[in-house]
Amino acid sequence: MALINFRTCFRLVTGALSDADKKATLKIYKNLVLSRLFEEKIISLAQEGRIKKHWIFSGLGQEGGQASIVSVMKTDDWLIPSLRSYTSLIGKGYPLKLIAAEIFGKKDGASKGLGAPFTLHSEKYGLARRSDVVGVDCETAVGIALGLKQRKKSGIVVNFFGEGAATRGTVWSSLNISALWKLPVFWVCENNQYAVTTHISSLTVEPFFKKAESFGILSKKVNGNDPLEVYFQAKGMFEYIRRERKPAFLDLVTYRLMGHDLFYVTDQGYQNPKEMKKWRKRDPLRTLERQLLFAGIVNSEKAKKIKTAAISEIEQVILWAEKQEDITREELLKTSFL
Amino acid sequence: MRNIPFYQAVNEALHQEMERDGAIFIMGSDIVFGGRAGMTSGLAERFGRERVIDTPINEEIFVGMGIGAAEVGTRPIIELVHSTLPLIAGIDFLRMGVWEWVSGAKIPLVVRVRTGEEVGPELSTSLASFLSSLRGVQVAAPSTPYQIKGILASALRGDKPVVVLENSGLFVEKSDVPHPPYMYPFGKGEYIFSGNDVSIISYSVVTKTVRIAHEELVRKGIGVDVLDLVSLRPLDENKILQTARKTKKILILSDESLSVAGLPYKIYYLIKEKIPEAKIHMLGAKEIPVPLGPLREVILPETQEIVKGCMDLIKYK
Repeated sequence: MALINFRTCFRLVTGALSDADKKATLKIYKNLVLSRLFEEKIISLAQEGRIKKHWIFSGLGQEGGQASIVSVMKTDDWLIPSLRSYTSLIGKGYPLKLIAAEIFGKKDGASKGLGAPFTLHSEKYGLARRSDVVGVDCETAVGIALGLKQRKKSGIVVNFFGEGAATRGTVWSSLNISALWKLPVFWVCENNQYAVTTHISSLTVEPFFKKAESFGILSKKVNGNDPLEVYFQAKGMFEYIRRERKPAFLDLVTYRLMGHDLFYVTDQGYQNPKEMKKWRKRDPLRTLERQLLFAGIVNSEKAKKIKTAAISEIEQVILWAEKQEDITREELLKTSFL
Repeated sequence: MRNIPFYQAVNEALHQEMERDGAIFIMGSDIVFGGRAGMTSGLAERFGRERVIDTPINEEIFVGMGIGAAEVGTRPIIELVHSTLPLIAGIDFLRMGVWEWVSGAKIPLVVRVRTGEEVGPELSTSLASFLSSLRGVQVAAPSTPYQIKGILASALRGDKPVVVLENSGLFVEKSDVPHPPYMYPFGKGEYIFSGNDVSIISYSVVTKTVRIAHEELVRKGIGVDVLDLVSLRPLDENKILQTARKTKKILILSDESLSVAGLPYKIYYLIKEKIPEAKIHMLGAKEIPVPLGPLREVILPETQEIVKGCMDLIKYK
């Protein structure tokens, strides 16, 4: 897979980017800068032992697609966020400080200190809880889309899941029903090639996008580390979903650079160092930055400003979050229910 | 007051509640043509295929779909046509109960499960204890048309996930049912008969057998207090203790084998904790997998076993 594909190059060279596209790509860039720096900070804090919650799944280096896809979403669209990175949450407008507070287990956090930042429900931001169980979020996604259809609402549902989840039967049952009942769901398979330690070659014979296609779903495969390409692909697919009120499936091919998680399965001995080196070079943030510089959407000064602003926002947010109150034993006990 | 069968009471409740609240929709296998025993007949004609939805055979995702649909303001009713199908969606039954706690979203989701069918051990085994052990899930197993109509109205007006067990053995049983909608609350048991010598605590189709056993016990001159649980979670602890205090001799009945079921033991403990002198016997399904066909009834507590259970208790001074 090329670093920047032909179509993207063409768009950049010919200047075939509308003002709206330019605005969108800048938004994607800002999100990526913020979520990348934030996640790096969280990882270093976790490694210092300042985070007690064992529920951090790094998405460093694979978050480009998330930023691009979420940038196309509207406020009344519903997102089931990705397990990895905070990019999709940030992109949907969810406040960074509430994400941080949840990571620190504070009672004002996204999930009241009781879950992970992506396990909340928020009508305001169009966010549905991501389940702790792999492969069942697709059920929720179909249900939300069915509910929106029942309520005659125009929103569509975006569901991120990994290629590891994509071997579960519940995923394919859900995809089938989404096609059958013409439900507006954008299925995004974040294919980072490893289900914990198991390589995709041990998961499936046919690529997932081909399977999705066989259900009668518009299905594409994209270089997930090329944010511009993902943006254009997603934009087209969103238009299709909104127009046709039918689902679409995107196989977002990317790569996991860190271990499966930060606490339990951190070892990466199962990944080929050459392969990792190759994918490190395809960093989506660096790729996008080069593209935007080339297209004149940012200059190096502006890029620097964006980074400085992100760093200062992250510092403030972490400072604030760490000072918030932990959820206490007594408060937890008060949540007892039937 | 009309005397109507169980299946008709279900049908009436569904019609009235869907009429009242446009956010309610129903999905499941074969419900458009009328479903099992005609429980859903007329719904598709009245409310349209948008709100009355036939599904592929995907019980493994229905409840998860219900969670999603409930999250965006609808009130899904999901119909599962066999007793054990909740196990194929087991993790979703667990999830629907904790979903509000973990995410803050209200989940007004009603899962109706047909139980007691004559289709062998893999599909017909009762899961009353499993379902009533799930955190955050209300479970009802009504035995009369009056109860089921009111329970469904309660379920569809509440904001909690609910499982309603509808036993095939009760579908043609009749009782007086008011036509206007009414609610029968969760957590409320119903005294079916009143007596001072011995108490029977029962639910669902077993209560039907208890009615026959009761006639025989009355002929023998024995006063029987019969408490029909109706709600398996929450349990009507007040009525359980009330009848236990009254007779101090209690027969607890279950449609599950006692070697696997937790519900009768929970009731046993509840009584023993407060009334240590109470004499309690338990009678559940026999330790045999449910056979295919009418012999399945042999598995459940039979009339003579219930009569004997009461007679044995009465011998205690």
